Amino acid sequence: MEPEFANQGSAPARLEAGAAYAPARDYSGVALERLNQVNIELTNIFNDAGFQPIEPGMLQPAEPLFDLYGEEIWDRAFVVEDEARADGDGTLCLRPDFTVPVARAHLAAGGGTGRYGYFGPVFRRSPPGENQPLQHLQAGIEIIGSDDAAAADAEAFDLARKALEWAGVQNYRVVTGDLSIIFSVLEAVAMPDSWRRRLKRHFWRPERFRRVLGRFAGEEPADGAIQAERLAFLKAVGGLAPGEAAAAVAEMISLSDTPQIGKRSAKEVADRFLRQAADAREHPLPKESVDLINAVLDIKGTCPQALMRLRELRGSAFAPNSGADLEASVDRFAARLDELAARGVDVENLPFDASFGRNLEYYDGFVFEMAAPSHEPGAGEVKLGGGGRYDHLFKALRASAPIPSVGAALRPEAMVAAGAGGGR
Amino acid sequence: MSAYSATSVNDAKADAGALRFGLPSKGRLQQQTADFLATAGITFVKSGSDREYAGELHGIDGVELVFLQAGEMPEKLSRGEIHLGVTGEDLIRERSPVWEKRIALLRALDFGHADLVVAVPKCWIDVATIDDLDDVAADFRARHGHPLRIATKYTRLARGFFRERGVANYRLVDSQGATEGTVSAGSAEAIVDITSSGETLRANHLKVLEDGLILQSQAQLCGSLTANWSPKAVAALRSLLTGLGGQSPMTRELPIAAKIDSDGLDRAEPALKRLGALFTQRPLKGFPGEAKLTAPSDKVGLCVDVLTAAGAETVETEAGAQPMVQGTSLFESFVARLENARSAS
Repeated sequence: MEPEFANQGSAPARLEAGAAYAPARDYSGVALERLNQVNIELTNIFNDAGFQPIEPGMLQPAEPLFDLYGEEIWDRAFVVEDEARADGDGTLCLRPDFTVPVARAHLAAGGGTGRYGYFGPVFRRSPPGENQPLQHLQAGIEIIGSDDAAAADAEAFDLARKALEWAGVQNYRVVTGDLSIIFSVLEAVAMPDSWRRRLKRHFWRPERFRRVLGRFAGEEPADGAIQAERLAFLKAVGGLAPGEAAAAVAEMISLSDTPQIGKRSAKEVADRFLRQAADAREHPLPKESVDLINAVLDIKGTCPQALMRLRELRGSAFAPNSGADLEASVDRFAARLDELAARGVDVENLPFDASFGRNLEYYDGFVFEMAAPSHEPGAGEVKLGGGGRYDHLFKALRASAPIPSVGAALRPEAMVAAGAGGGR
Repeated sequence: MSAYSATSVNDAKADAGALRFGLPSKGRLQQQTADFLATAGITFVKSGSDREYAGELHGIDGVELVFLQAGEMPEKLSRGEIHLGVTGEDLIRERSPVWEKRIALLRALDFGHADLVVAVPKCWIDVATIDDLDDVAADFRARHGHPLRIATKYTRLARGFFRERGVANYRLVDSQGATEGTVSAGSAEAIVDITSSGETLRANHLKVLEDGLILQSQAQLCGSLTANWSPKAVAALRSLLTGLGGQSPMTRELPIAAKIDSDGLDRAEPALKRLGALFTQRPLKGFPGEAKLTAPSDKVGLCVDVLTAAGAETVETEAGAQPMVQGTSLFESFVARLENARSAS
């Protein structure tokens, strides 16, 4: 049920698009007082809840972010080169968030479990042609290595909720989701592994996902652009053993009077042909499977409604021994609702949207966001905070295994704009 | 965005309020620009050796010439340091972020043609499309320990293209030298580069992906939307554009979109070309798809007939789209954009 990283190419522009205040704001006077008050309150709340203060460096190595975002990093972060560095890796970036730097610091300190609270500025490029803030404050927490996922999810959400309420922000809007559900549905639906990987890879780009799904369902020609002659070659190669296939490909390449250049060998080409040939022999994805995937993505309502719908789908659509992950996801969803209710959250009316989080960074489980109308004229809605579960982020940071982790981040400036710290 | 006033490159000659016109400083591009201007009866000479970057224009008053390298043009236009310039569309799009708000492409000049394309080794006989490349890229890191590398000097355009197509598992390698040699040199797996005939790519054992056309570029007459346009500069622009437009009938280029397979398009192509149509998008070889073209307004009807006869499923003419215009209407539309840009800033 893990997502694939470096693929989350869904418009990063939308990530921070909720903020509508000035690009570079200088605070003084009453505005600064309010901001300070919010900062003090948040820091106290984190400390009281047993979070250890942490302040990762503002300049971070760019490599982990390249792994996560690929070339999209240029749209998100300010990348700086320091080519003369002795250790040879002089590509740095101004931290675009706290989660990755805190996770790195946690690993560097030996791993295990950790509860961290942070506060400070993060830096993001404005999408081309827009004037989004280049720098904003973030205050948040990370719960790393806790085995009780449902309890940790609920704690992160509840802390964000309480922080907003204690800071005096009222009438904010909440949305929650859970990306592990759709990932586990993809795991449970019978299909070749290579198809599953592709669907997961394109999950972050809904339009592409829909297209790939349609292709697997036989609505479009298998593998879009395979020409007739390639298809014939594919058929011929597809029946061969891997060694023979590689030899046939090498011969094909040499027949076309083309030297073998670059790192990708004839064997790799042959392997891909074999895989495609195997795929071509597969039956298309049945309509019920496609409908099921879409039905899950369409789930939207209150949390209890969503849970009920999921249980219906689970009961009707899967063989009893498939979908162990889905089983676990649904159980965790139920357990999370119990934990949230125990903390006084009104889960009966808590909104859930199974597609929410499809454009959100590195999350892979529970996700949530809080937003409110700004008190500033014409500023629209401001994103106050949010967070989620990111167990597999640690794999991108070269940890040997996923580490169960969840975090929440608040945006003090947006909170002030929405009335925190003694607003209007 | 405040307009920079034209800062002076050759202040001795600085002519208050004149239209500063950036021309290619050398080579084939300069010659072709000269030929093009000559069609409107306009000639220029580079002035004496002490002023090798200045010159004189004959045929229109109120114009001050500035000779620039093609690569310098986008920034000068974008900052409003020149009013007009002749340079490749590829350079405008690559080097000037948010160029649409700062630069108007006034007229495609039908020279300096070059395609910006994605090319991979010819020995990748399993790779023909962007989807194939995406598929290969997804596995590449696990096999080779680093992401698939794509060498280019067009990083902005390449990144934008791959983002749009949903390709993510790759890393751009900045290449300022001979990009097409990077693959055999082992420093990249694929390239994004300009090609005109494809000859250099073939010589380097590379092939263009079927849907790997990023941009069909040509030289453009560009206008700066951020420059300080004095009445004198506006008047000079009017006579320049009227002069240029005067050579051709007052037609407008209109877009056409057709659902047609590539075979049908091949059949229709000679006739379409005779009618003056230019292709902006073609369907993949062997597959149905959408062809996009532009045609002179008085030939659009004939083009539609030709496309339909060649088996097009649907043919749409986009009357609502912003047409490319020539002559005085070109001038008017530019002035309107200038006013929009001013009121928006």
